[in-house]
Amino acid sequence: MSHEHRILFTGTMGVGKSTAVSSLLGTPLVSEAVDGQGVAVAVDHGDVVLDNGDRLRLYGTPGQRRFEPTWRALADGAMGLVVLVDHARPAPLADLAIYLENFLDLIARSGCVIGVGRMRTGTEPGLDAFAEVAARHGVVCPVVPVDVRDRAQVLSLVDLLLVQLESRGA
Amino acid sequence: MAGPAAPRAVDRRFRLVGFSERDGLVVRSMVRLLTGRTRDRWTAVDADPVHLVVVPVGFDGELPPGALAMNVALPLRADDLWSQLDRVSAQVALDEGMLRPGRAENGEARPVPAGPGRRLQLLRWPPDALLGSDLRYLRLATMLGARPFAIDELAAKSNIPLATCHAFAAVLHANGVAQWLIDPDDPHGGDGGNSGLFSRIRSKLGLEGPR
Repeated sequence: MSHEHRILFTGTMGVGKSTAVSSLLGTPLVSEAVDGQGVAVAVDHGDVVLDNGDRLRLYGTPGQRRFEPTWRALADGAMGLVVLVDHARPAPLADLAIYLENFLDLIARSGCVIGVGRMRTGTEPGLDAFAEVAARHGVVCPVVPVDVRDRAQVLSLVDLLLVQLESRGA
Repeated sequence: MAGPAAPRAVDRRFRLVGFSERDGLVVRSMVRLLTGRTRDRWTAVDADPVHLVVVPVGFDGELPPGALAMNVALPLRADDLWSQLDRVSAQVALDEGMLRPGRAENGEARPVPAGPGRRLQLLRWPPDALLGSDLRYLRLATMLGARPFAIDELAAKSNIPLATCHAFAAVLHANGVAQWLIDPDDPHGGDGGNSGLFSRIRSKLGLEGPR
């Protein structure tokens, strides 16, 4: 019997969640209705069929906070999380805090990577400030710059996530 | 106000293994030239005991058990050699001076012998300046963030040279972002049950591994 395994890409609207998944898989995403507390929301995902028939499903979560019930529904049973932060937004550190707080249960039992996008050299806040926000939430995880249009960089995020899961023996 | 005192230079011994006579002479000469600039005073010797064994990159021969090893790439670069030696100095000093939590009855800190029960735990993600663009450090920090590791296990699982792992551990500890745990029981020993799944995902996405 085949199983489904889920990795979530979360972050604010327009940060590039769907672009990241699409870059990684090289295929267009499909939409699926996900039920969050009785409200069905269309969520984009891309699939990879593994060689034993299992399916790895990469979801881009809806970005806005009003979709928190959907976030929780997606997080249930997921194997890991990629948080994408848009450095060009007015308060990227506060953005990160929102997603860490909402996905803390998932992070605690699996793994998490923080990718900071649209980051220009020398601009504040630096990567260390994002790591500090993570530390305040009890999260010790990779914090790296990323261009979600570049498959190699997105692949590197997934690699680091797998390194964590392998290290934990998850 | 005066800052913290710089560590006093200590006499250290190293031995070359796996070099041709000519290359060995070059390494010895450059180490001698760096005397006064490196944190410690390094002297080449031909017999154990030594603090460090220096081998060429790609060396796959036997090393003395328990010795710190340092890979050196040729042609030599003085700045690389200098920073590598200083990282080893930090690790040796750490091994010599590492303290147990708690104190002896007379109030003095008790030394902890180096041993298999020591594991390094990452307390927070390291400053960007420590990681630079070195993917090896990124990977090591990721592993240490997932759970505490003994350094030999870290080297084995990451496939990154033991000397590099020791040096990186020393830097993390010196910067206060990691701590040593004295705990002989490793609750994480052994591979997890999902290693097959991770291998399949890596294979499908074109990632190297599993590690």
